[in-house]
Amino acid sequence: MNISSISSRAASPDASDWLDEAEVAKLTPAMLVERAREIRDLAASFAQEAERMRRPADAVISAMRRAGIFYHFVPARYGGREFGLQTFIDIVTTVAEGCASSAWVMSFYMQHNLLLSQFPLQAQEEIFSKYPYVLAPVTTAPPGKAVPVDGGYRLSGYWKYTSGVVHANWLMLAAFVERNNVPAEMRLFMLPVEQARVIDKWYVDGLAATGSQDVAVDNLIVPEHLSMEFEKIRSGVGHGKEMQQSHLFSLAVDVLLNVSSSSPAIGAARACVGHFRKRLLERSPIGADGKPDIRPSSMARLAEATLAAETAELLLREAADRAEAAARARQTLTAEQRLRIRSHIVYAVKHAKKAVQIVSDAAGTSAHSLDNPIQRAVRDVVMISSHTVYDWDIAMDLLGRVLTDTVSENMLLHHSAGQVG
Amino acid sequence: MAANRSKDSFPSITATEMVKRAAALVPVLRERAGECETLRRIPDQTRDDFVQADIMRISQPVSRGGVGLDMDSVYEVALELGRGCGSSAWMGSFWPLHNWMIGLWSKAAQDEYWAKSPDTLSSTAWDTLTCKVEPASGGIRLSGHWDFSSGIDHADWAMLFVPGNPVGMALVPRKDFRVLDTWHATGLCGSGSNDVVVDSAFVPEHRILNMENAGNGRTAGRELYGTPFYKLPLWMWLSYSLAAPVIGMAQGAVESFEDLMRGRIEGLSGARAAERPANHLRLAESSAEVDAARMLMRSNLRQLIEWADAGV
Repeated sequence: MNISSISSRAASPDASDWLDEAEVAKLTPAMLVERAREIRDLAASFAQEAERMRRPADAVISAMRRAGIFYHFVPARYGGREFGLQTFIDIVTTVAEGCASSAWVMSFYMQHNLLLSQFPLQAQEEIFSKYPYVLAPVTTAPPGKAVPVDGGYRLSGYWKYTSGVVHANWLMLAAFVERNNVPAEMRLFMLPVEQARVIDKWYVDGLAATGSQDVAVDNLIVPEHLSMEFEKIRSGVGHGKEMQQSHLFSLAVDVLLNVSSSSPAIGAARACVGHFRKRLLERSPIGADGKPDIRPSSMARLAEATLAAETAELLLREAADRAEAAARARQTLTAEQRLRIRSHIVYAVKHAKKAVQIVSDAAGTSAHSLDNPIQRAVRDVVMISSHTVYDWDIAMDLLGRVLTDTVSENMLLHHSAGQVG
Repeated sequence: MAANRSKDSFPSITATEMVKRAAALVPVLRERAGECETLRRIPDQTRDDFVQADIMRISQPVSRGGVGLDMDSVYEVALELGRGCGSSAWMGSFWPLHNWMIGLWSKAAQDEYWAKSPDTLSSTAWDTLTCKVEPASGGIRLSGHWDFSSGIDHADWAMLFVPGNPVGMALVPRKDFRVLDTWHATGLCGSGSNDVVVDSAFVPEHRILNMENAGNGRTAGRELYGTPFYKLPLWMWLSYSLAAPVIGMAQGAVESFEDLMRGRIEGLSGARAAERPANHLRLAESSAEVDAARMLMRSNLRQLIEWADAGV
């Protein structure tokens, strides 16, 4: 297999539901948030069925495409809108209120368009000239193997948990480049999804509808320009800021990935608390004053769960603002500075988990019925919390080391690399 | 094991022997746990294994084919089974409880229940969605709908909670109830805790248990058998039937966590999870929690048995 045959095999774009230029130009943040509410309701109606299928519902992904959601982070020079992180959080948390799995997949699809802008210009031109946006999962674990060959790399590997692969057109896979038979730097490789084998091992109890299946590639030649040093992407110093005006392209990508992966938890927790409130209002007997006579202990739980969910969202939004402020000032954050910001997002997810667990402890057995949105939110948020970046023990160990100045660059790299995808 | 099931050999069965039999089932239950969840009820094979191991008969009255142990032995067995499969342990705790409970009913009801076989099984339903009781000659005419009746698919009889004054429980044979397949849950998926419906069934007086008396330990079981748990008010200890399998499940989770950590290499760093101090703390803390739960339960049960023996 040679390089030219690869490029001719590039994914065939499905152009049927792309927005025309005028439609894209009319998109506003408020409009996308409004459409996210419609997608939320649609996703909620498919949530249980999608879990049974263990993949996102076609109708929901299609609605996202038609709504113009995926133009959000596409560079303006390629026809995108370059909207900011707060709107991103608005959109993702809103969809997560209806179905966290759908929001999870959407969030990464959106944000990986920004990641593509860190690749060499040739890759961006080539891809964005055919696709107005990519639906490109990123997966890093376990990293594959890439051997340099003339004009590119020979890539092999088996990657787990490829969220979004079901409706993807491209893939981004991480691999260590082997030089003299020794793994050297890590790179991210872009390839049309058709070039990978997809292996469905996604049988899980949370985010069940994401279809986060495994992918494998054997001795595939990837051209040089469709690859990029992982470290430069991670810290937001790839090709993005050379070519794009917006501060978005200077954002620390690892912080951004934390925003992407935590927002579904925050939205799901918010909705879970809302369902609990509704349940208390509807199921409690009516008291002498004509108002629902809610048990005092349930009141306290509702209050605490609400505060936990709100705290989670505040922490996330504040962390996103800090990352954006640094990017606006064209300041490149150090690995430690990024970890401090990301720790706030880890704490946000902990609060989201706390919120759903408080609800779960008080909502009774019928809330565990598979058609009840409370149990799904609990499972989804717990699943997100299990993600390696939100592993509380690891995150606290790392922050402790940063606070005591005993962290190594290697530890920071491993931690932030683990979160991609 | 079938050879051991002649009634004469039962007095030799100790609690230790029963726990040993339960432990022998743990690997099998683990293997079937996925199937049990998919079925949404206990696999027939597991039910048969429990029968063969005499688990259903642990606390059954001896004169009805029981092995001569009491409810505290049921809980020791449930602790063990919980390590293998939560749903199976749930029923491994409930089935013998139910066969103990039958001993609360009038002698006539017990004769009917055990008429066909000492291996008769039953389920309970406590959560009443609807219930209509009409007086009838020699008993009541009962209609109603109950949810969360664990193991009901395997039940020859159902014990159904009947609200009223006094509150009661009606013992109803299989031909008089229907099962609605409603158990689609996120946990205890395999317990088959489906709904039960009764359409205008006659229940004779002798098959209705006065639950106020049962709650206070005043039952036929006390008169007929007089073993410690028949002397105790039901409400003092019934919840251990739910707690024991749960403690077993927690023990199983601790064991699985330990196994997982032993083999795990962490993501990109290549570090061994077994060497991470935080994992040692989690393992130590969680196993201490389970130990504490088990000790609390055992100490409470010991106290209850002392009270029962002392005739308090």
